[in-house]
Amino acid sequence: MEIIKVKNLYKTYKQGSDKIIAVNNTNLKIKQGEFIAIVGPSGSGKSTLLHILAGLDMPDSGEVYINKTNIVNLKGDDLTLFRRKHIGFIFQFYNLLPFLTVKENILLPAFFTNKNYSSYNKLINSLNLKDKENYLPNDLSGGQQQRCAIGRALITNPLVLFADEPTGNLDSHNAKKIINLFKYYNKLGQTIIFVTHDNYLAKKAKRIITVKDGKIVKDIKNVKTNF
Amino acid sequence: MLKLIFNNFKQNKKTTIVFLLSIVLASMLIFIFVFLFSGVHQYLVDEVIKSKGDYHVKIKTDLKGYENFTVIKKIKWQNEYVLITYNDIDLTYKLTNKLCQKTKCHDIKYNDPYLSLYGISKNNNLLKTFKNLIIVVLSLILIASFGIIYNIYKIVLVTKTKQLAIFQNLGMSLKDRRHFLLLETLFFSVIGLTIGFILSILIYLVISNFNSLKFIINMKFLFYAFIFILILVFLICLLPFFKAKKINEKRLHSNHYIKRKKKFKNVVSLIAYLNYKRSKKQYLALIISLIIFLVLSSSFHVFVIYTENIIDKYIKIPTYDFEINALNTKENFDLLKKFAKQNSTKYAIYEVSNKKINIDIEDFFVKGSANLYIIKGNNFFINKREEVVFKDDKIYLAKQKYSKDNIVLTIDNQKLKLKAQNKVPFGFENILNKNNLVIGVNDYPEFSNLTLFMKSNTKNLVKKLDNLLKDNNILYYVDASKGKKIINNIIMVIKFFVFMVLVLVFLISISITISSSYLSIMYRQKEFGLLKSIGFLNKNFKDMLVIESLYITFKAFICSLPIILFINMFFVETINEIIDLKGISIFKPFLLYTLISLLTVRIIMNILLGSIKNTKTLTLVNCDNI
Ligand SMILES: Nc1ncnc2c1ncn2[C@@H]1O[C@H](COP(=O)(O)OP(=O)(O)O)[C@@H](O)[C@H]1O
Ligand SMILES: [Mg+2]
Repeated sequence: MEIIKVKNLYKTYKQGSDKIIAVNNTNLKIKQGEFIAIVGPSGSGKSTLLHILAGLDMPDSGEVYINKTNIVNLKGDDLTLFRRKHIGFIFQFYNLLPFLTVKENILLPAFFTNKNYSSYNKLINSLNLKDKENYLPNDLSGGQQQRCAIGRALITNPLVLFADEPTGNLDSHNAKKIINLFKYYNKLGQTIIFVTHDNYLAKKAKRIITVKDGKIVKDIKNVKTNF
Repeated sequence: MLKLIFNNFKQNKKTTIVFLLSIVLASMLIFIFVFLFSGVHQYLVDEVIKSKGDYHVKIKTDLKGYENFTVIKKIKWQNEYVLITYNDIDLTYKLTNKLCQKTKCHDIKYNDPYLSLYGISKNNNLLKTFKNLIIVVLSLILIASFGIIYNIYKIVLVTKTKQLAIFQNLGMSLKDRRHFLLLETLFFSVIGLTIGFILSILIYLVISNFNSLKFIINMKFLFYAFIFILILVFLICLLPFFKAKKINEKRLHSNHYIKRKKKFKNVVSLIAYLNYKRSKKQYLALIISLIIFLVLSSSFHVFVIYTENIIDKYIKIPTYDFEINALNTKENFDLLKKFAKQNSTKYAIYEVSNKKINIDIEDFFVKGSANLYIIKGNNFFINKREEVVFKDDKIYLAKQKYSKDNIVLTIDNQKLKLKAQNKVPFGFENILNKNNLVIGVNDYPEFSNLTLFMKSNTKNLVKKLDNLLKDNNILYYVDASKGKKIINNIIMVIKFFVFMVLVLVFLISISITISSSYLSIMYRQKEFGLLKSIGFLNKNFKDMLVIESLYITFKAFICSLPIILFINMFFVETINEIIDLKGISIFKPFLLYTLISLLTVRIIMNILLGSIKNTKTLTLVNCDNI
């Protein structure tokens, strides 16, 4: 079943008198349960594409259907409500609230949705953060902080989990850990799309999309996922 | 270097502008006060010179040759007196003593009202008190302006320390960095001072348009003001060099964990509470500016109330222009009535008996005497100002309100029935003070005098009254019109001055509050973006800010309470005792301004929230503050 459908997506930035085409006429279909890595050189438009898909940014033109809703048409609180329900997002720099504990950071989105967050215990154990749940983010390592951010994104059981270079700020050992976590959640049925410029990590995904100058130049199924 | 400063300004536009604004506002606070004070002072001096003359001292002497003293600016002869104006008014007493050692002085008369305006009279203390009050006010203003700049700069410091660290990484030496900072500071203080100076002049010119105040530049004051602000800004701006190290150490050691005693069901209130608890710099700044606002505004409000009360109590302005007294005969009554009908816009003739009586007034003067005016008429009334009541045959100062019962008063063995009434007949208003009591009765054996009070626009009335005095049985008349005009003008100017200072203090401290709330929101853009990306709705933000502004105002309230209590105990109550006023307290204005500050913070936060609402989540998240 297709949960994301992107049609003729187009996004430009003005930089002085120059016009930069960050996403150039992109079309994409993503099915439930996919595990996708978006790769490409720096400045190729990976982040912009991901932001638009996650409803954090608006395209100049085109359509983004998530679960049959065109999120390009949503605005303000409607968009926030939609994102709250269906989308989880992980930033490169964790972006945790420094004055909340790990537990509070993770549970934060769940407060709104009023969903039963009984999944918390399972989640915190799988993230291997149980013993750190009362720590503040600044007292954690980068890898731990990023795992906390994953917890925050997953607590609401989102339809899709987006991650923009989630390992960009981590050493290879911690980076591997994060991607393995992704793999684990994907196995449980979670749809995941992440951006990376590390080809080794990208190969762990089931599908690899290569972007260059705002265009998708390659879209391959990765049958032989390595561990 | 200038290029670097300019580039820097462009990069940190918002914080720099707010910082500049704080310098402008602080200097405006000082300059406008100086202008207002100089203007009012000059006005009073002019009035005194008009009525008393511009000499400093009047000496009765036979000797001539005063012209030879170089310290004397002007000299005038008037009958046997020589009227001297010195070059330096401050030296009046010293120079006069010196003069009188050299020549014989029979009689020395200082121009006390004039000298007192410069705070050097040895006799007239009331204006000296006024001067002391001004000094207190001025020091409050100076402290406030320090608070304003320091407060804002503390916020700017966050950006500044980061900036300096970047410069350091770029290979700038400590000397270069200090040089840069000094130059930058000089640049902004000169700009801020200039803008503040020009704005102050403009505002003062607008203000003085409504009044007869002149524009006086007191160079001495102005020089001090300039120097004060410059030193202030420099001291404050050099702080990062002293503080940079400490901040780093602090950061390393601080434990960010905040203990939560309460359980929060609502995540919005939890975040609001934590935000308030961690008291980030910009939060502290907002709280401090609120404290400045609360303390300053309440103090100045009380200051205004005092001025009003003192003027009300001690300066009696007659409601009439002329008072004419005659013996109580039928002819005189007809004559006065005719005269009044022809020459007045409003008048009243009373049959009066003047008595001296002993009174017994609790808390006031234990036993003393008062002038009692018994006047004929149906409206019985009592002293309005002091709230005197008559009880049996004694007179008491009432703490309670007027009693409506009939009161019997015995005077000269005559039992007079009275009914208390809060109304004073025309002409007697200014007679009602400590030592004068007025009552009206129907039945009394001896109304020996007639008193006519009248308001009049007629020209040459004094001549007519002189003729009347010559030809008839009129005892005397009092011309109150001239003095009334002068007093009225002076009162107006003083009230205006005090009121303008209050308005000024209010406006400036509120703009400081506005700018710090602005900064405190701006510094939280990223946090807002994060919350939004997680699923905060506009309503959640609104609720959060409502709770936060409540917390902040409450904290400011709690923090200013001791200061207010202190002011109340050591100033308000003492002054109340000295000038015999009761019931004036700082608490009412304090509560009023607390309410105003709560509203202000709420409104500003709402406006700023609106501007953030329209910014894209991503832009907010990518801000580098949190
Ligand atoms: N806010 C922005 N303003 C202007 N240009 C931008 C902005 N964000 C991204 N760009 C430009 O768009 C292009 C794509 O950026 P991005 O999506 O961040 O690439 P990637 O994530 O692949 O490195 C780049 O050339 C970048 O300079
Ligand atoms: Mg990127």
